[in-house]
Amino acid sequence: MTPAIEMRGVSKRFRGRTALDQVEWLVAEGSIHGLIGANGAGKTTLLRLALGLLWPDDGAIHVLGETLRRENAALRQRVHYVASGRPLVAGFRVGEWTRYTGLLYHRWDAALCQKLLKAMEIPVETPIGHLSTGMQTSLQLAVALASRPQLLLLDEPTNGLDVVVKRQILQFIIDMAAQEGTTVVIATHNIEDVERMADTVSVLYRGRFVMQGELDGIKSHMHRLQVVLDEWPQALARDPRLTHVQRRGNVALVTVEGPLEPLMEAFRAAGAVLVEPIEMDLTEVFRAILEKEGYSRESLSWESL
Amino acid sequence: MSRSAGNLSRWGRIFPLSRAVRYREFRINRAVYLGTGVLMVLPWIVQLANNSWVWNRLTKQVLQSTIFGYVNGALAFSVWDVMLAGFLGVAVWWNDRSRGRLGLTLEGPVTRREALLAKFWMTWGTIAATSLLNGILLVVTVVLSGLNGWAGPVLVKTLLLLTVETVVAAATIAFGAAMGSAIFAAITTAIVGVIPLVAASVVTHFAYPPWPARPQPWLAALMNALSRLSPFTFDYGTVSLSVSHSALFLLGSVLLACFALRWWDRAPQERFHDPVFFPALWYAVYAFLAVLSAFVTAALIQPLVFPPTRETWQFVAEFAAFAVIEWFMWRAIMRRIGRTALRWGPDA
Repeated sequence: MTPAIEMRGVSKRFRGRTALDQVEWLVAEGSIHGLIGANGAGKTTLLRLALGLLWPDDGAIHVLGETLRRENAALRQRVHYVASGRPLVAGFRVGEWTRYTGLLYHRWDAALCQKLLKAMEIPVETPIGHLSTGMQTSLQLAVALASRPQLLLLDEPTNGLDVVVKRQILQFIIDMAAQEGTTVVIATHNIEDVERMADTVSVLYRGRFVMQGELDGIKSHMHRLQVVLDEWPQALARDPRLTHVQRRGNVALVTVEGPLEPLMEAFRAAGAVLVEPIEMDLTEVFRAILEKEGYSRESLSWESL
Repeated sequence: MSRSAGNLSRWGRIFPLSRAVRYREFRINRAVYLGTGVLMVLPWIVQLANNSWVWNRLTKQVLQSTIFGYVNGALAFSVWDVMLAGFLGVAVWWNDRSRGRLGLTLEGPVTRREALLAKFWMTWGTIAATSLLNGILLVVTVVLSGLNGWAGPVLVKTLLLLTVETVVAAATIAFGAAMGSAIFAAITTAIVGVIPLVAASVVTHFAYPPWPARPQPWLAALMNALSRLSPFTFDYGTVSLSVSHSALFLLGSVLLACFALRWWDRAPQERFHDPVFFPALWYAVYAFLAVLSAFVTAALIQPLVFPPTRETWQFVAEFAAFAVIEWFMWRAIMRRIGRTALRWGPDA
């Protein structure tokens, strides 16, 4: 199957600072892909490169089977990008904006747009500048969905949305992706959204991917153990599979990378009284991955400040 | 042409913009286009109305003097219209980048080329429509004043003014396609327009040496030719000169449009908020600042020596030396500014 997005050796620098470094990225067609990363990891840059707005300094990008060049407007009939937190054209009324987008997109579904606006209670006569940030994001999403894209790039799409609208709109996107085969990439700090929606996940850190794969695969890659052990053997304390150890007396919370069983056996052999796996959600897995990369911000605490 | 932004209408063959792009451009900048158009026409209407409101034996003479002045290079409202044309070119960019969220539009299926062509066509449409109205008003004045034979020269002057306005607007739009700062684009247009006048001034110095040396006719001709390359020169003497310069300015406008499309196609999106889109343009900024400051420095040295003994070549040599030194000085200053959050300087 042709990937919806394929990036090979892509690098991007802004004013001498490297934002993305030799990135290799594949997003399968028809999948929902979660893109997560710390602040400034390069998520937005990656999406804007996939949209053909930014030009890479190195590497090649293929989107929906087309190689991106300097001008990619024709491709953007099939790719739609939504980023929350940006004001739309304040001088337009909602109806004027949907009229404009209706003229713009070949596959425009006016009926769907009207239904979505009605469901979100966005009056068409309202000037866009009078809408709240969340309403503007909702409007962007409605327009994106009504343009019937083959690839939907969402950059923090749920910021500013209330929980009810957020839940409904995410479910709508999941259903649309399932029924129409739309590929969705969602870049967000709301990892529970990714956990709910995504088939595959990429973790970006300081301009490079530190992990990519299926959601279940990534979740099963990191584990946490609660261990009660009086004396830690040197070999075990320095085991590279242990990415993080937090000890309080003889009780330790251990984050483990890779298969769990061999390490549990090793702890038991070392005399551990208790070796118990603790379930990790994607947020904790993500945190563990970033900790392993040296991103913990431990100095950002009340005690240390 | 690739059909990116919606379907092209049947007018697409002669007016290559999709309905979506036309709709958006007019919706965003309609106040700018209409407002500028009204401001361009209004003074001419007021003038005609004032001069012909009360009809008496002097009215014809007043109207005739208007026509004579217009045809023979009196500036009247021409300067105002040319300034407004320049303002229009700057304003359509500035308004679209701020209120119109041009960056957001380019995230959709709108080619940069279309977005730029929409500005060119609608700006030119505004200028052409106002020139047509002004031409009609002037022909009415011609008829009222009884100078029927002057209709031709009046229309030629109007054509000249139209092309001058076109080239000034084209320049501001073109520089707006290479610069994210409206101020930079406006200043660059002014500099480019003034360069022929400065060159003509320099030639004048040699064309008319101090008595008893004789004036140099060929240098005087060169001075005239250079000064008329500037759109800010309004005195073209004859009708045939006006026609030839109209053609020249029209050619200049087309060239500027071609350059604009080239620059705009190549401008990296991440530099859209920088004063200039291409780092190499900073060298031109240093050069401009160096020329200005070197001229001032060289001129300031003169009073230190009394009586002033410098020859022209000495002034030129000092100016050149200061210009080189100050080019590096400005480069260092602008680079330092570029490292601040202001970003009004290069990034390296």
